Amino acid sequence: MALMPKRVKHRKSQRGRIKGNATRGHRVSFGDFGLQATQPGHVSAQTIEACRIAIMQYIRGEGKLYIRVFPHRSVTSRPLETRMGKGKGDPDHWVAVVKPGTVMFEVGGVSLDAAKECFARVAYKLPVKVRLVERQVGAGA
Amino acid sequence: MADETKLVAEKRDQTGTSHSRRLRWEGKVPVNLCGLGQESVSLTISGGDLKPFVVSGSQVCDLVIDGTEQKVIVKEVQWDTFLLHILHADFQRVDPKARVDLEIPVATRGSLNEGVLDHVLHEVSVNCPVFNIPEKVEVRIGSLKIGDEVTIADLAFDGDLESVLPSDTVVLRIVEAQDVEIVQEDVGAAVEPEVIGRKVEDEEGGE
Repeated sequence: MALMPKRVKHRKSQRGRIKGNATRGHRVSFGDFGLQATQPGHVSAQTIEACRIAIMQYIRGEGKLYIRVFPHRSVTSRPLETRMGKGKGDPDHWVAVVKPGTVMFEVGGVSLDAAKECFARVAYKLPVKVRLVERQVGAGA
Repeated sequence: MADETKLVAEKRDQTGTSHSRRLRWEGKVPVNLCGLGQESVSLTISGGDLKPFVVSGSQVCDLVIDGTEQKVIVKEVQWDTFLLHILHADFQRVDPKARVDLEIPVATRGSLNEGVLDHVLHEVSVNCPVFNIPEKVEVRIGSLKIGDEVTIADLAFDGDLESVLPSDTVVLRIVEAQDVEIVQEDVGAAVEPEVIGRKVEDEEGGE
């Protein structure tokens, strides 16, 4: 099973707009290097799972991975070959809302070169542009 | 201990969001200065001077206001989302002979021979004299083995430094590299989460 909430208040949500930059979760807090989004977007649970596998295959237990995003929002879709109307479609998959600045993944216990190589592989899978960020002195948590 | 920097600040009369924004467009950073029982003062500092000072990890500097120097420490720095620009900074006046509580980064030195480094604390709180603030605390990890832990008590502090944290607080540990089985989870199963407050269909049908 890909990531999704255990309990929700509402099955479906409105799509909304992603405005502004991230004001939380935009610092490297747990590991040494992070992958920061520079664009807004929705990252699906399947994509997060694919990124997790790509990172784990690269670091092979030599470092630690921290996943900083979670797919809280459901996305609905209509079945194929159905007419319009008859209400909103059923939940199809779950996505994480990513604002510019959100640190999505962090790795610790690996070198800078390894983190670069690892995140370069992950960047191909993501629907948003990303950059590598390091833990910075004086930046706060 | 780092060489102490001199930062030149100017007093500002106006405060508020719009004025602060105007200052930032001009490349200046709004700054507040307080401490030692004196009134707080609103200042501006050139962003080009302040950013290198903060990024270097230094915490003490001499602040020059109208030709007079004051010893100050950095209490808080606010950055923008991408850590490109400093939005605001708080400075505190300090007595040069006094002791202060600060957070100092923990840096590792050397490379591991075995295991994985689990860095628990990236910064440690210490109490130290203003004239002797270290830039970082180094931990040599080259000789560590799996299962070893480095606690606050193991850190090599200078004579003047005292840790604020309990001595048995773990700073980092070496854990065994886990042979992770990478299993692609089944993403096709369409199981929906429980909806809070919704009754099960059987119960609804029975009513």
